[in-house]
Amino acid sequence: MLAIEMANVHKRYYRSHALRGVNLQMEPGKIVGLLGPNGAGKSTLLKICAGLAHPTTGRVHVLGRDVSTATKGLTAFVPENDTFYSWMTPRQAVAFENSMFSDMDVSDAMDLLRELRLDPDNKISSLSKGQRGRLKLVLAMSRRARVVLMDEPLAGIDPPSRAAILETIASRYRAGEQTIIISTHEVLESEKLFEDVVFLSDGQIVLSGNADELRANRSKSLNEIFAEVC
Amino acid sequence: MQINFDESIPIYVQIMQGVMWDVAVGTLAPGDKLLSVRDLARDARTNPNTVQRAYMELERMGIVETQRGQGTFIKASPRLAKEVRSEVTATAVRSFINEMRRLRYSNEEIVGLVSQGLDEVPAADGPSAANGQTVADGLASGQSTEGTNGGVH
Amino acid sequence: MKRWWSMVGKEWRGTWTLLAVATAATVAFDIWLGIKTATWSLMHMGEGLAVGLSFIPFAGVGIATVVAGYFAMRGEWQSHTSMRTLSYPLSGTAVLTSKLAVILFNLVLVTLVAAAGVWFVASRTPGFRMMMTSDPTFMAWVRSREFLTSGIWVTISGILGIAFMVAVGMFSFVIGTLVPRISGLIAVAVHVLVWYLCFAFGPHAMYVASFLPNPVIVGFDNALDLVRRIEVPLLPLWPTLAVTAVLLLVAGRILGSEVDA
Repeated sequence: MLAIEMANVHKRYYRSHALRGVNLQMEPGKIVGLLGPNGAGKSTLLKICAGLAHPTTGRVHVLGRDVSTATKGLTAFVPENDTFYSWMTPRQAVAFENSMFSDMDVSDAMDLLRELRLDPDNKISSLSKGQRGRLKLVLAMSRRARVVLMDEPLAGIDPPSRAAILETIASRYRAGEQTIIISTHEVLESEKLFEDVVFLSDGQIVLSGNADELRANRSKSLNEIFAEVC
Repeated sequence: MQINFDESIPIYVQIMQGVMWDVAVGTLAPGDKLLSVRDLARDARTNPNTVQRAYMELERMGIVETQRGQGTFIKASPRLAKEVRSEVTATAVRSFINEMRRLRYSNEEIVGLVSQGLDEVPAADGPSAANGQTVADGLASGQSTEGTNGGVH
Repeated sequence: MKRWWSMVGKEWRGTWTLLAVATAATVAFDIWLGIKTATWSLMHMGEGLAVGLSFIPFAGVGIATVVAGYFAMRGEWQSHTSMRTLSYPLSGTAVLTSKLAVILFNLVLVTLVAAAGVWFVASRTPGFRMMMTSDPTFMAWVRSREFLTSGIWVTISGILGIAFMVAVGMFSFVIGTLVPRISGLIAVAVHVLVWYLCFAFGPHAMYVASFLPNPVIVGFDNALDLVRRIEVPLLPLWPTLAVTAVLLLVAGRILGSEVDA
């Protein structure tokens, strides 16, 4: 069963055409880089998989099912913007996620908070951007979600927090059972994390494949390939 | 094990090379335990599946062996270090020669340049200075990331 | 259901400060009126002044009812929490009803406090109580067997009316999100349109509803010194319930498939 399957997906908004016929098959158990410049349609693609947007035409399956309220319980969506209820503390946020998702591991989440040096009892509204970025990650990675969808997890975040985020993804990734899709336009820092990559440009997939095979075939880094194809 | 990654070369190949260099110079001795897949992935900020693939390839080459539930170890074979060393050396020499040939040097010129270079480059650092460096390290590869110092135990 | 209650808890945490302020303001206002009313009653025509003023908090509740649904939704969009709220495995309608439940609770609580305030002010107004107890219509009504059931139906209708208005606000906001940039304008237009349609087709709906069993509110009238019993069937009950449900289901359906945040 594929983690994500898209067949001829188009997404039109009021004035723009965000996705122009995307066909995609993502195998389960991989970390996939969804690479493309700003406005390429990365966020739209992830939102469609998370059930936060509906394709104008085309079919989308997540873990073999139509996207629905039920698949929302199997996927973890990490949006680019801050989406916390700011009156909560990290501890309360963990408890709230736990009440919403049956696959949340609270003790794992508390460990991860400590590991990422986040005070569980400090109001979220008083956290820095980097700290919030780390908290987003804690909430997603302490679930046993089969599919994790991360939208620009490094954007606008300080370098030490970026490093912490990449290390956490690498070490907490549930190899074999979990699929993580990370959208980013900052390829340089994150490219070692990807097993497969999908290059998206102007709403269309321009190149996809195994990261190491692309490197071997072209003797180029993903970042250099990105500059070439996007 | 410390790997300065060059992102234009397959990551799993570089992990393999890193282990092989360490075996070649003796940093990793037969029977030593490699970092767990998860730990190496975290330290190198890379994909656990990629590390797993590198370890599997090394196992296929007979350099490491996986003991179920205990981890991955350098194969306890007396001849291993020597074999790996000659393999790493052969690769380095081949790659150097290929590069020089692409620059259109004749065999005599290459030998001359090497002996001239040996006079110019001080050898004070000893052979271990190049420990873990990949062949193409330092070429135009953009920014390379420092792997954290990996233990061997 | 556990998720729905959790969402209700979250909504509650986000609104209880506002509720506390509104309740405290109402209580303080009524206490002030309760203190002043004895003095005012001595003035010419002053008996009813404080009691009349004690109804002011109801106007606040009325305004809050019209805008609460809209603002409860807008708050989520402004803080971008809509993204998180709607990524939970909960239907859009469940998200809306969780908000509705908390808004209803808050508004009903403030209404009860305001009603208690009216009673408090009235009971401290000399003469007013006597005026009430000597009114034969009022006493006939209070003593009647139907007073309790009518009271319950009035309460239910009141809550339903509030729910309807809150649902209209939510519905307008959700329709507004479909058109970014001018979502506020669209929301106002939809709000007005829904009201217009309700007035235009309300009579038809009530005619249809007259064939359904309707609860009756009993009142008394004393024309020509004769206390007369009058019965008013609650015709708007079923139509209002139906429209509220439809608004919530449609808005929930839209939320469940498309979020522009």
